[in-house]
Amino acid sequence: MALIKLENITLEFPVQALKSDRRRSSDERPIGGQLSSGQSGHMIVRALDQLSLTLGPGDRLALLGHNGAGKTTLLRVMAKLYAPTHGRVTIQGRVAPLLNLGFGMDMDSTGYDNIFIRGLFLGMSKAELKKKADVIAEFSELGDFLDLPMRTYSSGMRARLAFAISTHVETDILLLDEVVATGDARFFKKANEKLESFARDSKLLVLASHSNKVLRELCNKALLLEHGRAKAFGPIEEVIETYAASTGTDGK
Amino acid sequence: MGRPMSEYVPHLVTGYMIWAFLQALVIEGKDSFVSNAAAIREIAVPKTVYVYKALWKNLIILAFNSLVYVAALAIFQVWPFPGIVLLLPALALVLLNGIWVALLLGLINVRYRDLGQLVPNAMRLAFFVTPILWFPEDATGIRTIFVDFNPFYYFIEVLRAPLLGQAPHSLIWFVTIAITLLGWGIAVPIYAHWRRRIAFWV
Repeated sequence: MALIKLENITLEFPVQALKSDRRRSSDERPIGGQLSSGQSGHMIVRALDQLSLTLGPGDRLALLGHNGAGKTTLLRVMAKLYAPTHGRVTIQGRVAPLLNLGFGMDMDSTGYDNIFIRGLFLGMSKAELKKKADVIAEFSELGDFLDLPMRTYSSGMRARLAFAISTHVETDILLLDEVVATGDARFFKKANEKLESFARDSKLLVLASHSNKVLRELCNKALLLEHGRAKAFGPIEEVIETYAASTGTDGK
Repeated sequence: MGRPMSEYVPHLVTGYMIWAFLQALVIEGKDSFVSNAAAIREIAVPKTVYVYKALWKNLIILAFNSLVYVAALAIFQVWPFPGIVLLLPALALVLLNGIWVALLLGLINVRYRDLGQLVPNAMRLAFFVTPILWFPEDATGIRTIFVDFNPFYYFIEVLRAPLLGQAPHSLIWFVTIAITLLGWGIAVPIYAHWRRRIAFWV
């Protein structure tokens, strides 16, 4: 049973930085969260602002927004990595994050060994990995390259392997941050199918991306973030249109 | 020095092996959060896992380093039994201290990174004022403060004595246990209060 319930989430980062007196601050803010000065000259970044959201089984949510809108921060809140300053987070089900493709990979070990290293990091057991290693290897389509050290891989090959491992974790909720984009067309199709079957098993998927094409193919709902606030939430097409209208692009 | 080689060399080899272990616990302990930043931003596991990881790694290194100790004992025919059984409680005590030191220094270091530069230098200084190259009984006059008020002396001695087949003095046990309780008493509330912030600071 997968469930993500966010109630009035606010998340503030205290940042140890003093305002520069050389630079005049501007009122224009196309990017980032909301900046304000806290006590004793600290800057506070409000990355998420009073956000409420409920997601159930089978929901595939797209996160949209400008740079620094809070997409990755929101994913990290869902992964229970960041505790919000205010508000309540309820997560039911196992969460598999796929936020950083390089995580849990040892560059000097072979690709095959890395299936085990990253798999263990992501919470799979050794016995589970022994059973799944071949399936993961096959899914990655890396073939004999799996016997070579990771540092010889291209970024696309690394992405394939990382993606293959993460999506084979027994999980209820999968969180992805702009990762499917690195693969080539053939892998993208394969990844799509995997994620679709994932959604059919009434699991929950949250994906942050700037590619409308990717989001349209994978998601059925969307959340548009602007400076940490929820600007729009609803069916994917509507939200993409709202976003396109606000940026002055055509949303293709 | 006036001490026979058969006494000095096992003392030095054992003491140095223990020092390398204690030093690694402190220096790597302070990095236990900083050096696992990628994991802290990716998977939700208790942050103490990173502390245990550092402890386990250094236990394995200690096991490898102990080969030199075994050789020194064999060459100088030091028989460590039965005193060596006290190594187990002593090692447990040192590891318990490794945990609170790593939690406390790790937390401070993740917030104020400058500490990370200071600790290795402080440890280098501590090496010379701790009785590793010299015997604690040889300190005279004002220098006895480097023995009596040096926490590292007590932790070196609690491990070194059993390894050389002696029982640590009861004062040694008393001080190490007192430091353990005090350290946990300080580190645990601080860690409990700030642990949710670690992910923002790394």
